[in-house]
Amino acid sequence: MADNLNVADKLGANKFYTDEHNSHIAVDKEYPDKEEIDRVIQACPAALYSIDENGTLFFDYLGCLECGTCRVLSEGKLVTNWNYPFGSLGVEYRFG
Amino acid sequence: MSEERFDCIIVGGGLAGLTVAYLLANEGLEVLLLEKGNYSGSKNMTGGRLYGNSLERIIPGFADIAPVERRVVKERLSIMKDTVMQMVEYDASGVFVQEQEGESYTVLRGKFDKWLSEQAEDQGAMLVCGIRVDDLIIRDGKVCGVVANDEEMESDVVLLADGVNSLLTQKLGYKNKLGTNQVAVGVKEIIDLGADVINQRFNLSDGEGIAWMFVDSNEVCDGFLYTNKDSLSVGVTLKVENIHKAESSVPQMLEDFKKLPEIAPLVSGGRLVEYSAHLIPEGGMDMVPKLYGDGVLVAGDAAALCANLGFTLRGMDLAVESGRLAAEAILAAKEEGEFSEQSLSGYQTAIEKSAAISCVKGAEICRKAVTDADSMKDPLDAFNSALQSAQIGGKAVGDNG
Amino acid sequence: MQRIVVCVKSELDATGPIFLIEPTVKINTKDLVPILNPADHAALALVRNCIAQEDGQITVLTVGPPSADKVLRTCLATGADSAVRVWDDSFMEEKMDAKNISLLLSKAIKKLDAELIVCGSESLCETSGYVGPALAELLDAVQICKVDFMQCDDGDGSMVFHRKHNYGNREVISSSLPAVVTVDFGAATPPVVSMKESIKAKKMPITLFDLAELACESSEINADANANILQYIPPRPRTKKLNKAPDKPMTKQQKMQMMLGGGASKKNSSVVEGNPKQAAKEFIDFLIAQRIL
Repeated sequence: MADNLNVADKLGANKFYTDEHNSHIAVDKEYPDKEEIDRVIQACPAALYSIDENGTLFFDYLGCLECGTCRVLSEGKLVTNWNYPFGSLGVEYRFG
Repeated sequence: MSEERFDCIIVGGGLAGLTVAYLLANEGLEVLLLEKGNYSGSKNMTGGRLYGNSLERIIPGFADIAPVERRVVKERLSIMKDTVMQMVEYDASGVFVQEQEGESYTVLRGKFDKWLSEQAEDQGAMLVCGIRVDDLIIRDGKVCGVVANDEEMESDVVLLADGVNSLLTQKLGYKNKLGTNQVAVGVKEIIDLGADVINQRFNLSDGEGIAWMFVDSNEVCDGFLYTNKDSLSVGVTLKVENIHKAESSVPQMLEDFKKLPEIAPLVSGGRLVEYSAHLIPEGGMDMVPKLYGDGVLVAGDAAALCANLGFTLRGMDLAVESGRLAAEAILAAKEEGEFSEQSLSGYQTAIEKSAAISCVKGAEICRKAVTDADSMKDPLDAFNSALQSAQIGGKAVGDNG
Repeated sequence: MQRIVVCVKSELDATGPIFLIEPTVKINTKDLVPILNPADHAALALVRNCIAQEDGQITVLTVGPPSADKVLRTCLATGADSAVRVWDDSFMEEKMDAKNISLLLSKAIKKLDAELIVCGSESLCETSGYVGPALAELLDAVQICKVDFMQCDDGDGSMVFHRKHNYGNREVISSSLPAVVTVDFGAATPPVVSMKESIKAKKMPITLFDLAELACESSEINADANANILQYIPPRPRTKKLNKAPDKPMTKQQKMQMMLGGGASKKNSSVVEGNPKQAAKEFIDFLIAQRIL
């Protein structure tokens, strides 16, 4: 699965205005379908979803590239709410 | 009723939205464009290549003043079939779909969209950035304005140009939830190398560029490489429904792509300056939503007017074109004095006749052409005949013509 | 009605990753985007939070070419009542160092007849912290740094300022006017961007002060700077302490640290407990294992 370290390094090249208080994506941490979870983990370009050895799901909205892949894959299931970050917050592409 | 209102409110400061803002402001309309990022382009991303035709119509000679990266003079197409990669290089006037003639340029959205937003402002459009529109004001079935963070602003007509995810088009009921077969996830790295190194590695002069598409016959992971002024845009795309076919994660696919013997030496020694991801509409005609209604129009990626033709991608120029047609429809409606569904219906007719729909239809045909076994012999011929038989275009010019 | 000027700067955003140009070892500003200096924005927010519009009118002031209007509009949308930009066609952007800027600002402030002058304590790109003290000197005003609260004193034209002192202590200072006050980033949070305020701000006029308006000679301005930057020295490369993915996902803080720092170590600390002799042995064993002893 995703090499977490590499992706976080890559995200470090980007500019982010973080929303200190709110996550723009809400995730059901107790979601039962492991296959569904694995698919989302595999798909997220920013490797923000992960699972530890105990099977606990982690999601970190910091570093989100706001593409919407997790929304398309799993809105209403693993992803309980998806929106773009509040205006002016989130990733800011200098190049794009 | 608030004290202030506009003729047109545009949601989204990408190419479609900015084109409409530019054209309407130019005609003296009071236009408000709301962009959620801090500047146009800050929340946008492309591979990417802009075919110049549609913007040339609006701002002639734009490439001389806009921050385009390089003018595409070389095209490469690599078809990956299992472990075999067949590469074809041809000149940039190769196989085309309607209205693809003319120059194309590699662009970076953070710079290009920003420039276009300044042009729109010079025309008199009011651009307000850092505002995420949350909802639409609808009265008696008519869209009358927008709501952003509990603030309302009214207008005669609203243009939705809020991108592939377009939550607002979905809220209106014009579009269904995105299906995994309708979008591809694209992830990209911008690798800084310096203009000289790029010129040397690709045998280019200053200002000349290459557009290189990699098509996977197994339909798992496509790739792309574009030359910018000082950097390379390298990335992969994967239709979201095909995730289960992939053995590794999306970020890992990009890593693996960069390690391919065709790519590795070209990116070596470079420095990563940006890592981005975006969804690309690839759902064909089924994905195109209702395009207009009482007081509202939908343009650009929000209208799924985007086409992965395999040998190239058309999206940005189609967004500009749809913006131009939307502006025309709005101006015509203003002449009539109303913005009802009926008076805006000219937009649908115009879009159906435009390059946008041809490309969207062409995308499926081209995809099939590439998975066809015979395409290994001459991929351009395969695209060419597929497009010709669908009467969409098709003319191979260049080395393999 | 108090006349307040908040000095702001439009500068290139150095909060994201920045790179140095080899071999001159200067900052590569090519791809940086201009923003409003966050400390200046905090200064504006602090003034507006502490002094209501009916008690004090805030004019934001900057020295910059027309592109600096963007940050003035941001200020107008977040609490400022009017905006002034100082620029003259004869100015050369490269010559606009802190000294020249302070001189121009002081002339504009005198023209605006301000009683209270507020600015961020330092800018993102230069971080020299020069302008605040320089303004106080040029205006012959009281100077108070790192203020995080202010209030008008009833009637007698003085003001009360609070500032943080060491070890959690706070100072409460009473000062006559005019006063120049600097504010650190973080002392106040600017309000959330409002669509209506932004639209209103777009329509407000921005006054331009050129050299003639300021009754200033160009010879006063373009003098060579006294202090020149020789080079920027980048931080020494940090070795990545982790060769593989950590076995458990990192916390939010660790992840951000890694993103910003280019590599974070996984903290694997343990507390040595037990009687002193046992603890000492455990500790020595640890040092040997880590090849320190």
